[in-house]
Amino acid sequence: MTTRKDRDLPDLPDAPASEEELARAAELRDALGDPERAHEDADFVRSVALSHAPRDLDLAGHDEILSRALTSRPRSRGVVVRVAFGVAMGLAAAAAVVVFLGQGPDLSPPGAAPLARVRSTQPLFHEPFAREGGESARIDRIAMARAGDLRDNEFKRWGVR
Amino acid sequence: MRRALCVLLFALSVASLGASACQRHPAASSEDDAGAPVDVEIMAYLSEARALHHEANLKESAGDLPGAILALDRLTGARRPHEGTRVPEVEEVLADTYARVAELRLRSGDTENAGRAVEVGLAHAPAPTYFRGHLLEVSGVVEETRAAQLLDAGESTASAGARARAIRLLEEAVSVQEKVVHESLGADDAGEGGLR
Repeated sequence: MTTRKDRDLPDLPDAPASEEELARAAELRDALGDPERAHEDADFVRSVALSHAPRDLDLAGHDEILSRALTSRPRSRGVVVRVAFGVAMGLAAAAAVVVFLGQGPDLSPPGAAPLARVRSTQPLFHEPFAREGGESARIDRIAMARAGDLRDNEFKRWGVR
Repeated sequence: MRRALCVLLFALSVASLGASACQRHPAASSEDDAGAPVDVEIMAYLSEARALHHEANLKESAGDLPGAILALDRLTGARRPHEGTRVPEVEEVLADTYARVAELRLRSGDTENAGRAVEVGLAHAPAPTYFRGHLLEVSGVVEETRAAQLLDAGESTASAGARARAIRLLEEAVSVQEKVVHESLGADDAGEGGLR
């Protein structure tokens, strides 16, 4: 009896091959034995094998590739490529100028909390300092305020909001 | 033709990359303008400054003025965070520390070194702030003390010069303080006030 649990399980690796799998394996074997035969998986396997241990290119094959590349290329195509490249570079320069001048979209990551930065401590004080003394009280206030900033920065860096 | 299209697409990709780079550049620049984030190095310096000021308090309250000055000298000579970069907190703490050194030296009767301390301190507070105003005030008091000392020594002309400098510095202090108070009130009205 086949239970629901059995049906939901994937095939085990050691399970006997099905008829379909056997047929596809035979196709792959034949295709690997005959490079003329078109087979996607065989092409892939050959690519992997050649990337690991490439065969030397014979001289005749090399000459044939070279002559095909050099003779089949019409002269006008190079001009088209250069024009297209020039136009695109112009567009690139224009886009860079526009964005540099602040007209472009804001690409900064959304939701990134700004860190507290070094700045004047002047806003911590709301009246001129006493003529004499008070320096240590002022440094207390500065140190405590910036300790809070540092704590906030650490939390932001850790991603704690 | 297909190759031309490929090149066009490649160039457009380069364009968008260039544009992104240019877009990020001003952001980095504005971050630089705003200063570096408050970090452990800055906090360590502020903590050291706080400890040395309190050490100076203890020495001062025990009547040990040279000991208090020595503690503050350690602070002014200490290694500063992010050397080569201006950190406002560090500059202002140094300005205030030099003001205190000047006061202590003045109380010790060392008018010359008090004047020098104020001079160095003013270099750390070039903008109109309470720190600069306070230093100018201390500087005026130093000149006032010098005027009195010169008068006692019978050097009336030099004394008059010191007295004139004292008046000018004290007036400058008042002017800076008034400006800062005015700006502070404006910032409060705009809802940018700090701690009270």
